[in-house]
Amino acid sequence: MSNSDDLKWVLQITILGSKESFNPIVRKYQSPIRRFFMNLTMGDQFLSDDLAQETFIKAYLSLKSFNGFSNFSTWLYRIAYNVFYDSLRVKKMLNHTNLEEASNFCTVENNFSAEKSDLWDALKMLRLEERTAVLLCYMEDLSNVQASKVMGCPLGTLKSYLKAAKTKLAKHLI
Amino acid sequence: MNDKNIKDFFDKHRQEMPDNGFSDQVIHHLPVKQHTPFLVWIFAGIGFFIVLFSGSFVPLINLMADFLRNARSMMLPLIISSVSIFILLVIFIVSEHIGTGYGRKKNIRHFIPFVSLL
Repeated sequence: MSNSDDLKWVLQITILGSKESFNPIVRKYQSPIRRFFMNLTMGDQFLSDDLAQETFIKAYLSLKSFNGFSNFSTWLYRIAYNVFYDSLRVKKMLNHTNLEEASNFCTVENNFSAEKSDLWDALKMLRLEERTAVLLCYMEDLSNVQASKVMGCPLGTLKSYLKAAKTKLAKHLI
Repeated sequence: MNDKNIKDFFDKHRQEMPDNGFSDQVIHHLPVKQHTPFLVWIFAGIGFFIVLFSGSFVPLINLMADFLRNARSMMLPLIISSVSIFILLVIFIVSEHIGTGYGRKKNIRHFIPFVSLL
């Protein structure tokens, strides 16, 4: 499905207002959104699924605010990003830590652990913003402009996150 | 290590997540949007026919005619207040539209002083 298909589905949901019309969008984007959360949380599958579910519910409730100027996927990743940071803020408040410490998830054992351990080892070395930027640009194939829109930061800032991340990853992967 | 090596590293670890009933679970948890209950339309229709057949619409029309006659004398303040309300509504709708972009609501407290002026 292309972006025009996304717009068609959004229009259909807005006019008909039926929950079932949202199904094709969930089916199309469940994999990238859950993978994004899975990598941000170092493999916590339950937390990832909870956050992904919250993302889709928020997207459904605020579909009217989608103006179609940006890609639907960019808009959805922006919601996912906000959901993740909101969850970190709650965790930070509960544990009385800072945001960076709250983002230090322990790798959780699951079906993907064996194949993914070196990826999560590499991601652990990065700061939260660097990790998010790298995942959006290299794992989810978003352009730099799209990733900066998702993270709500200027393009130059995103590029500096990527540069710092690449330097750290290069040391780790050699 | 260059950009391509890093891209290859992430490509190697990219994995499709199997649905395993996740989509159905999301659809099940979506809130139902509220529609006007059917009963409201039935009672509105009944009310309309009662007014129509009981002849109560004649005083109602007289009342509206009186209002229009008197409106001429108070047209200027009426126009001013209507235009002010219209401008405020446009500002409110535009700010809501911009503020809810990407699923976030903007704080609208700064509009309260303007509304209280009316």
